[in-house]
Amino acid sequence: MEQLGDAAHAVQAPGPARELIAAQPSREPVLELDGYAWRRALPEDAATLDQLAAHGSNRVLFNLPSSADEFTARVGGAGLRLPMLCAYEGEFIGAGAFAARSNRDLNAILVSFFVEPSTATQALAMYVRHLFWSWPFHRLYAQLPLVDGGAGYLALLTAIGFVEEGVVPEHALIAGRPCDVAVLGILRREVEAWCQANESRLAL
Amino acid sequence: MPGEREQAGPIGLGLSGSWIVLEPLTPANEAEFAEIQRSMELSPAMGPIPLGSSEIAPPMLVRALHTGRPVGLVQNQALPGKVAVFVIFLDPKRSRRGYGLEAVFMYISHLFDSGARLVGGESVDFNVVLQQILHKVGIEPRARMREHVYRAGAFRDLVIFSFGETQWRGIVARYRRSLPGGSGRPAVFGGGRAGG
Repeated sequence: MEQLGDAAHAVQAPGPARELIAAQPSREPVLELDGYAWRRALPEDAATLDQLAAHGSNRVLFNLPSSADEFTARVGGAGLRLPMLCAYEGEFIGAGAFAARSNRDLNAILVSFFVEPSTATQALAMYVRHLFWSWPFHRLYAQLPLVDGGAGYLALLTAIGFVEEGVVPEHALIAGRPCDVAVLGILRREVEAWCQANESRLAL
Repeated sequence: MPGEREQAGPIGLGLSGSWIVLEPLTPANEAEFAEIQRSMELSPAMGPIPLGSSEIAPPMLVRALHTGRPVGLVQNQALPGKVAVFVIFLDPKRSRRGYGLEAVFMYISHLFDSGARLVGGESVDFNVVLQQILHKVGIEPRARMREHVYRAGAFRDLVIFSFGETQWRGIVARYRRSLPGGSGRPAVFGGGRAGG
C-alpha cells in the first residue's frame, strides 16, 4: 500500500469523547507504507512478542521480558509504552516500544527489535516517526550493549539518523561479563531532516 | 586456590574528612536534607532530584566541621550490575573550596567499599566545576547525550562519566597524602573560598 495513515487521522481532534473511541488500540494497522504495517501490540500478542524477542541477541540487547507471560504483564505498562508490532506483507518482522519517558526532559529510550535488523531500516523509521508524531518528544535515545548482534542494531539506528554519542566501558553485565554500551540519540529536528532527505512521506 | 587473585582491601577513606563529614540520612537529619534539597531544586545544574534509596549506599548529608552546618548532599542511584550513579550537590552559598573534593573522594570510595562495580556520574554541560574536578583527577567523559535534559530554559547536553575501582584506586593513591588520614594539606581544586 502506498499510503501512510495514523489512526488518529480518523477522528476529529479535539472532539467529543464518543469519536475518540475509534482511536483505542485495535488490531487495525496504524501505519502502512510499502508493505510494512505497524499496529498496536495488545496483551494477547505476548506470544508473538516473545518469539520476536527470541531472535538473535534481541533479549540480551534490549533487556526484554523473558517469557510470554512477562510480556503480557508488561505490554503497555511502564516498561514498554506504545508497544507496536510490525508486519511486512503479513508476516511479523519486529516490534517497538519506548521506556523511561521523562516528562520534564521530553525524552525516552527506544526499544525496538527485529528478526533481521539489516532489513528493518524503513520499518524502524516509520516507528520512530510515529513516536515523534504521537508524543512531544524532543529526543529519543538508545543504549546498546556491544555484544554479538549489537553491531547490526548500531548500523540500523545510524541508518535512520541516530547519532553515536559515546561508549561507556563495561557498563552492562551480560552472562556475568562486563561489556561496553554504546549510547545513541536522535533529536526531533534530526528526524525531520532525515525524512526530508530519505523518505519525505514520513515527514512530520 | 591457584590463580585466584587476592581481594584488595577497602579503600577506607572513611566518612570524616579535614573539612567535612558525611552523615547517612536518618530521621535526625531529615529536615536538614530537605533544606539542602530545596536549595538544589533552584540550582540550574541540578533541579529536583528525589533522594535515592540505593541498595549500595544511602544518601548522605555533607556537614562542615568548622560550623556544624549542612552544606550539601551526596547520593547515588543503583543501576543493574552494581553500577552506582553518583550525585553531589554543594550549596554555593554555604560551601567552600575543598569541601567538594573531599566529599567526592570520600563518597565514591565508600561506594566502591560498599560493593559498587562501577561508579558513574552525570553532569549538565554547563556544570564546569564538577567536570574540572573530574578532569583534574584524570576522569574524562565517556559520552555526551545531546540536548538530553531541560535545564534553565533550554535543552542541554548531559555529560556521562564512568570508572571502575582499579582506576579509582589509582586516583586515590595519587592524592592519598592530601586526603583524609593523609599527612599533607587537604587538596583544593577550583575557585571559591578556601575551606576550614
